[in-house]
Amino acid sequence: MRIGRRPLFFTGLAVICLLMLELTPPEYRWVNLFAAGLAMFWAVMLFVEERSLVRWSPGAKDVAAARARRPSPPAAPASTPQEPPSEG
Amino acid sequence: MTIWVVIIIVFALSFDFFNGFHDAANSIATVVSTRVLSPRQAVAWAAFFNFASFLIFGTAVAATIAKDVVQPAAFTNAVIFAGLVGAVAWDIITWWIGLPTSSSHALVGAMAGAAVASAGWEALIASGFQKIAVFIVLSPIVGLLLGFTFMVMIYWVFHRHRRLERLNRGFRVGQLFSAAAFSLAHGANDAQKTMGIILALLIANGVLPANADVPLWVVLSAHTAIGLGTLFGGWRIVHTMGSKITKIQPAQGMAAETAAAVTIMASTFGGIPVSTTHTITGGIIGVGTTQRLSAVRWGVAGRVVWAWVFTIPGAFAISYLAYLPFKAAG
Repeated sequence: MRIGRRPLFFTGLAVICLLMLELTPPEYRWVNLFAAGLAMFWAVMLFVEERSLVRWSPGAKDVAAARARRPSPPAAPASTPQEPPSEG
Repeated sequence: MTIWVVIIIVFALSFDFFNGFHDAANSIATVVSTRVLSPRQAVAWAAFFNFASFLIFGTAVAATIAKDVVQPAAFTNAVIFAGLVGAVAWDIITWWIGLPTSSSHALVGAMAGAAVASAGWEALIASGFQKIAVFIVLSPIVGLLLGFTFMVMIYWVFHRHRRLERLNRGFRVGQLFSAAAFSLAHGANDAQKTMGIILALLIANGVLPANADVPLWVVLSAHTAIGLGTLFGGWRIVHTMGSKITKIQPAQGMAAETAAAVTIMASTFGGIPVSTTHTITGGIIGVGTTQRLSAVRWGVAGRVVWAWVFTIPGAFAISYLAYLPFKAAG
């Protein structure tokens, strides 16, 4: 499953905020938690959006319909007349 | 009050003037680049709100600068003067190059450099530095996240709106208010840094007791200086901030400025000296990210980040050198 760049970007921001939690004075740690929470929220939302776009985009539908219309190729015979006779 | 103290106060107010001059671009870049206001109108608008901010915000940031960065005992007239020399020199150099660096961090780095040159590393207060260092990173991230959030909210609310011309006009009016809010926040946080330096100077010279609050005349003079500085704004940086990081529409400018204003106002109430430059840059990148990551010119954003990284060490080194003649003179 491919994850887009924007969800990864926001996840990275959340990780930075959480890594800095120890360095932040205790009275301001809520800022790190708030920012990390908001970044993760957007990472998840962007991931969901990208997945739904891949699944429901008109292009994807057309490709699926074309695949459904196309007759399945016949099973290849074991040998064809064009094939050179096997030697030996 | 000696003549030496008066001279340093005038010099501190000059730094405040340069701060407004240097950071004017942050307040007005998006308004000018979206053509909501002409450059002349925009600087007048920003300067007014820079000045008016003293009516709303307290002086918590000033107290942090005066008491939490350098040991109050290490503040002498020579240290404060050398620190101001370092901060002003750094501001002028980066303004000349056209880099949107932080005047606030230049001031903190410069005061630290002069104090270390005078009294060694023990002169610094680690916890105060830690608080400022953490918010060097956190403030642009919060600005970015809020910028992104506000922009998505605008999309959610208005995506069915068909009268685009009328909608755009509405956002242009909205941007006037967001620019005013940002200028208020900028005036409050940045003017207080100078107030903090003047407070430290007055305490060091025995003009005020150690636990004194910022006198009203200091508050008014600092806001006047930053307002005048903004009025004479720095145009080189407007271009970098307003158009080089990402292309901006009125709705995006409004979202970026509102995000930065909220972040800076919250920091000001918390007594944290943050960079208005960092925060608005984060806001602009945040609104650019709603399009796609490649809508942001990361090369320019990266150059800005390098400027941030070098600000504290650069200002530190200049003020350290500026203090050496005082040390040699004894």
